[in-house]
Amino acid sequence: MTNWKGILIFFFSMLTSHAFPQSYNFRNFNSEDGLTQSYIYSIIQDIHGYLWIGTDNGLFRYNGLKFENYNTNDSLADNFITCGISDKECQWFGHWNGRLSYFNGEKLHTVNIPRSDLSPVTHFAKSPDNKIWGSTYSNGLVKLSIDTGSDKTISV
Amino acid sequence: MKRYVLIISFILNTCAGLFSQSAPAIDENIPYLMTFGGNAITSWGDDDYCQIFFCIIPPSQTGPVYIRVYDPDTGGNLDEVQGEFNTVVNFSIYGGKDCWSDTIAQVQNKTGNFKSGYLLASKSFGVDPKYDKKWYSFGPFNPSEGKYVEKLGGRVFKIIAQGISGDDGNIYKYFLSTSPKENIAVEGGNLFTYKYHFRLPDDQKHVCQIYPFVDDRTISIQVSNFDWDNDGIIRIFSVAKNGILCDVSGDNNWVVREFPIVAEEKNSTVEIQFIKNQTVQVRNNNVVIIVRNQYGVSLPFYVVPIGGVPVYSPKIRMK
Repeated sequence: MTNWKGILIFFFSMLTSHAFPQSYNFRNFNSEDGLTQSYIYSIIQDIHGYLWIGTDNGLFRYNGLKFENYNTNDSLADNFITCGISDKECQWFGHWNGRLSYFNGEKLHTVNIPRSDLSPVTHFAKSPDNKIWGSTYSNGLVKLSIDTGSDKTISV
Repeated sequence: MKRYVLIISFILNTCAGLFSQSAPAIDENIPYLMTFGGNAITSWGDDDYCQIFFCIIPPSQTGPVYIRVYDPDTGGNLDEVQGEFNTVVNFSIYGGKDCWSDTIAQVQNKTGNFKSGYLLASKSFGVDPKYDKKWYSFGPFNPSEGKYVEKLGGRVFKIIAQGISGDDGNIYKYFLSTSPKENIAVEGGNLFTYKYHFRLPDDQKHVCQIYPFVDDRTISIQVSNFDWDNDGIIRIFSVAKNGILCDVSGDNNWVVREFPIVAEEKNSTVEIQFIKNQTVQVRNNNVVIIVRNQYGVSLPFYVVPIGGVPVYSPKIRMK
């Protein structure tokens, strides 16, 4: 008589022998890859798949192959990026000097903030009504409200 | 022969600069800093229950730095108990703009905005054997998060130890390190304070010294000491002063003595030397020292003395 039970146990044991635990491959990106700064403060992904990496000395965009560097010469408000958030076509960046920048899909812009006593922007979050909120070290919360005019301003 | 002595002296001075980044520094011969709980009485040696230190990170240091605190808890046999241990002391680290400014030297007590800057880290310690006689590391801190001050030659962070509650004395020390696990000095780094709260050694043979820096605007200094308890004498040394005696305070009391500053002492370090009482042993003596210029602005005490330890140069007059 055929031992079906034994055959089944043997069959499944053969299957499980291939169930190895997952292994992960880590790759370190550094200056040789074009990421010239080692202090990384934020990383976000936009709707096109680009990674935006905020460092203490410049903003980097990674397209899967190489890093492109942006700084104040590209209208970034400050080279020290502390946080970022992606909002549809727009990527927002908060800075150590308390200022804000955004990328509108074409180029970077510095946000005009009508006050001088700024403190570092620490985090961004989106509320259910799709508003972007930013926390700061010592100036509480800011709510980003974009005017429709040519100059985008922030109400605090 | 003289040439070799000069070379060796230079190397020793350089090494002292590289490796004396603890506060208090080894060269100061002061065992520990002290901060009492907010409910302590001032006659135990702490006039305001708050110690403010600054550390300078040179531009060459691009890797992360750590601020390490030895024995941050208030408990065990190193700290000073009053009845039973009930004290909480908060350590906080500040960076960014305003953590240091030209006017901060005038803020010497808790009535001023001494917590200016951006709070980067904070932790309160009570009685906790986990931290007794052990190091706790704050960080890592990106040097870029400190405030760049050109005249100090680097980026500045502020460390505040504040007695929140209780009445015991927290006895501790700092080290500015490139490692979270061991004390590895930041090359070219330094620490300084405008108001030094410390514990004197019990050993009567010990001589301690601290090093205020006298800038070129100073024409006189006022040396103030609090709660000295008549524990020996205080002497002032510089390139032009050879151990001038300074008045000492008694118990729970401030005393101020003024000294003129001559041209060759400007932009140099002065040494304030504490010589313990040789006849009566005073134990657990906690003191506070301030040195002000003629405008009432405090001068910084550097743990690595700027320009090295002053050496008295006698003036010989020919008749």
